Amino acid sequence: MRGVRVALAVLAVLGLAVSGFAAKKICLYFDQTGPGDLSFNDMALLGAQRAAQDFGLELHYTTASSPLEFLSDLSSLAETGEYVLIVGVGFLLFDALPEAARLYPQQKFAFVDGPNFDLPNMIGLLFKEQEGGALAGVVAALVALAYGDPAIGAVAGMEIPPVWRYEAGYRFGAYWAVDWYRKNVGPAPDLRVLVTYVGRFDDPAGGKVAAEALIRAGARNILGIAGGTHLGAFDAVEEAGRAAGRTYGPPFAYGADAAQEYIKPGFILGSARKRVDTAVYEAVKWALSGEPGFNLVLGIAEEGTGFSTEEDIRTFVELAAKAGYPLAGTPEEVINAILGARKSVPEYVWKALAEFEGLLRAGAIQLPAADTAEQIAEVRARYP
Amino acid sequence: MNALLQVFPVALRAMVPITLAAVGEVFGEWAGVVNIGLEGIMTLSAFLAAVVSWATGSPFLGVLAGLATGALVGLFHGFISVRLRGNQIISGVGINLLGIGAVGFGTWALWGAKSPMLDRRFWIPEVPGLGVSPFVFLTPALALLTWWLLFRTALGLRVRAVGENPMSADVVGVPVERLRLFAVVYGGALGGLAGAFLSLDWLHTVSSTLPAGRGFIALANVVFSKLNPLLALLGGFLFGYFDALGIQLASVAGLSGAVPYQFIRMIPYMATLLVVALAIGRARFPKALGQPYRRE
Repeated sequence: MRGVRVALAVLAVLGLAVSGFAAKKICLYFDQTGPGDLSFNDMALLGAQRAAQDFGLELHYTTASSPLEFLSDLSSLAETGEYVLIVGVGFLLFDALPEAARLYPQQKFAFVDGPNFDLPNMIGLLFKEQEGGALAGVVAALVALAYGDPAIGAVAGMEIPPVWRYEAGYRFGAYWAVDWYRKNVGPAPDLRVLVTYVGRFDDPAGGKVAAEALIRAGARNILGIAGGTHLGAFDAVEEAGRAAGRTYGPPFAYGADAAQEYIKPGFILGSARKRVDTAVYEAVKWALSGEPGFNLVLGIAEEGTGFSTEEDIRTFVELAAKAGYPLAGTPEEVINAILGARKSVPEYVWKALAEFEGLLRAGAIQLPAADTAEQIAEVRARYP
Repeated sequence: MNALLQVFPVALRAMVPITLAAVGEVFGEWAGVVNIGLEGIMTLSAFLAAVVSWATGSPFLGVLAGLATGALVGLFHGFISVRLRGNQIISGVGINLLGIGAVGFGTWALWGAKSPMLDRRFWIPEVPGLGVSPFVFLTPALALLTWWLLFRTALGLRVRAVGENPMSADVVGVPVERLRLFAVVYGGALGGLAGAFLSLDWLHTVSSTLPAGRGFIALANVVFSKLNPLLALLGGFLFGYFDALGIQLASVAGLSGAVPYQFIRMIPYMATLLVVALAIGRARFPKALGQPYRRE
């Protein structure tokens, strides 16, 4: 009996020694899809890769096979005790991640798109999606006014706070833009903001049908805030444009999270950015610092949100080209088509965008909160 | 009123995958073989159709590849369930899982993206002058052809005999296994066409969840149709119509705030369920459906 105990003790010491020599590790845990979306998930991976390189860490990642596995997967990862940080990527981990964090208080967790639930061993990575949404709303509304449309639209995924925040900002930005137009350009009718929730993030057919309905209702500027679902909205926009014999919009679509213009060059005018990469990088820094958990909220002031810049567009075209994405032309052709579309809309659109961005950065604009169902209902009533 | 008419062209497109997959499955079920792997067949063939169209620059070859993929998966299912007399449900589940895994990996390995969009060079062109997809005509034509094959030809009679009472059919010299295999391959091929339509014609993208449940709706449509391909055409259209109408109402009438979207997205399922409930009364399925045949 004693011999066994001694042997175990020796093994334990040896194990400690070995783990002490091995490189420290971090692990990314994706709620669905995983890397390869060239958007939210890939940005998380990009941030983790950058952090792994800068801090000499080893990077692992894995994707959930179903929501039923969330807690058991996270537990097995925590159980290994190998990871300096486990990053849960995606809002769907809302229940499982805090539970795992309570079960394994020694393990540090990060929650992309969710709060830290006041847990000392978890960092919540939140974004002011309203800001990116509002910037897209300003552009969409001004382009709609320029072409005499009665409405702008959005194709949304599920009713969850990050999507609500995009929607709230989008509505606010559109109303701000109409006011701006009246002050600086001329009289303008009221615009309606039509938002369709498809209920899934992986149904391009639903997104396409929704966008076609929006276009028929006169909303020819459509923001996609539905992940894979809004790829269908992009397709509807391009099809409507091609059917009218155009090589660029209107109609125009707008992407979310990543700079998605490369997907339909000429028909996607811009994207509401959300720098998931920056957030994950900061989370790794936090895990190494030994500080207690908190909520990190990234906004335009921290370069965590924004409207896609020319540099963003180039970055993502190159990223897609490198990944082997079937682009519509050479990277240079794609970039030219995107920038050409931007030049095709009136100059004042970009002037207004810059003005709005300046006000946001200066803190002179208060965007509506949309973290709960009541709050988003209020926003919808106020900016219909 | 206007909205009711406006969604008509949308419904014509939405009808295609649900109808094609269901009509194929109707044929297979008449022969006594259930294939619940329609979702997987559509996913796999959507992917391979896109790959071939992209690699060759010919959407037509892409459609053929989709058709062939569906037929091959059908053959695989037939081999397991007819030759090896395996459990048809388990084989179908396997096909669905294979679709998710293989396509998720395949798109990523090939294009570095899990849901790449195809450039319009690789799309199936619309019918000149009409501005609609050729599938809008092909689908009713195939439903009619399948109905004719089943109920107006000697082949159809034999297929139905094999599904109803394989032993009697065998006794009078009808090749049970060969006919069942043929029926499953035929069904798979139509499911493959549905997949090619999804990626090359309707959505212009590929992903592991591309059909988003339409393979399962097609299965419901099979039940609704009481194994009549022409009723399956009607069922496919009805579902597509109510689906599009629900989304149309959600956005345009501005109901989003008042009515939860979950309720609106429920409309097509409720409407289909209602129709099935009302229509199911006299449905009669082949006696030997789902049972492997063992010669004594």
